[in-house]
Amino acid sequence: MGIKRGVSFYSYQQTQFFKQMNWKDMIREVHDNLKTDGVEIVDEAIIKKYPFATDEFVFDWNNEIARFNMNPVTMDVYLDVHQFRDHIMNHREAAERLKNDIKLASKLGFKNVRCLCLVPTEVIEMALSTAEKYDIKIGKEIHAPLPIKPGLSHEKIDPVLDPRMVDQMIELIERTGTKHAGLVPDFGIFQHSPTKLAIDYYKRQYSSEMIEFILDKGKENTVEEVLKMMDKKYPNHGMNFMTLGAIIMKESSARPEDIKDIIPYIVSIHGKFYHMTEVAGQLGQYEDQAIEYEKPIQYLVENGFDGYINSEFEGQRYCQDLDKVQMIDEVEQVRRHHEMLTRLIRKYEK
Amino acid sequence: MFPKQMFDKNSFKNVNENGKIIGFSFDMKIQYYRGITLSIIRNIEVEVDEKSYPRDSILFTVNNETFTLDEMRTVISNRWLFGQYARVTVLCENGLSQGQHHIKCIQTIAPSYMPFQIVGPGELDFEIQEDM
Repeated sequence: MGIKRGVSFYSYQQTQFFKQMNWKDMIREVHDNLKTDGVEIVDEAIIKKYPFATDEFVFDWNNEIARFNMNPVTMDVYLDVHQFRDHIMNHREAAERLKNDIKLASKLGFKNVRCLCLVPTEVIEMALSTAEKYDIKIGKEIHAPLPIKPGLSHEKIDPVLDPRMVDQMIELIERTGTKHAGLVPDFGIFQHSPTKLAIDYYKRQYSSEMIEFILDKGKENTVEEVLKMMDKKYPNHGMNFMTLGAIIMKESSARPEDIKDIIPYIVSIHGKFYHMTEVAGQLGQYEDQAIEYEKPIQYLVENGFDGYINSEFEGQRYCQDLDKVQMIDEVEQVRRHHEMLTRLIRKYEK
Repeated sequence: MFPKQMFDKNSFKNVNENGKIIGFSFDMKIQYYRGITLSIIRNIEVEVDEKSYPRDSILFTVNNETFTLDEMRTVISNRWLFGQYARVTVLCENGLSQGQHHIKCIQTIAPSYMPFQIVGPGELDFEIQEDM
């Protein structure tokens, strides 16, 4: 019972890119150094023959999981709807793909698949019978800039996401009575301010002066208003609304207290983070200064959440324009994240 | 993602076919955090020393299969894996001269869920050494 710790191997993507670690090394790191058992993968980063898995891979994976007594929690699945160039996948095709991914997850011992927040609820409903047959939960991700409950001011940042997504999933679950669908909140929804790594990165990519202009105008204006000012002052700025939204972030996309009401529907949680730095005056204790972790963990513990928070480190992307020696150490960042998770969970579990 | 590290610096070479130089080639990794089927690749643009090469002069080789960019549009049975080098061959008479060059290469891909295509540019100084 309680909050358990795990890692999405997405966190080690740079290490994988440079061939410094493969998935077996990642399992060893989680087991030996993080002293926990939760494992999450991005299917298309780990399974070479996706959308299939060879018998050899299935055997190798399950053997390694058994060897270290690990727990494959969630497999992150995608729907590349543009992959057939003569047409965009229709909902029936998308559901077939999701059913395939569910079977694949089952072969590898996973309990859940995480699908993206843009996957239509109808597609999930069409795959439910397969999910039930294989006893796999389909978790729809609550990813920033989505809220948990609609009605917050920043909702227009993204033109395609529906702020009522959570309600639509709960409606599906209540209407069908299924125990095989739910939600995967991503801690990015509790990010309340821009991460310094990102600001520094955008200053290098664009110009310090332009980023300072955005930060300054962003204090008093919305993303749309700042975009208009940018179009006028920097006609060729080339910045999209998502990047702009990340730079002038003033509040989180979801309120921490809103997580209390969705706990029964949570399949697993993405512990998104960008940069773990030492807490002032606290040697060996770490925090992400841009993301609220303490309150959501408090609410999760107090309201009886029983499941995994899987670290999802994403700060590496803000250092990858630099020389290799200046890039950020993913393994160390995840270790720091687990120091924080362990400390906060203990604090409220008493 | 990795504008400098996407290339294998030691892979740049002229391509010799039957004693004749028919172009040059280099190896690169995908600028994304996962693999994709080849049909997801929308474009690969190559510019060396500010000279850009036409789309139909570019060949893409991965997992022992070679395609033009147009042929790749419908290839769903071959995947460019995360972290895997694919070979780009640029067909051009006489290839590149020996010595130092500068490449700009842009990968454009269309994975499922972003409201825009993902453009991954990279640049590198490299050297073409004496033909073997």
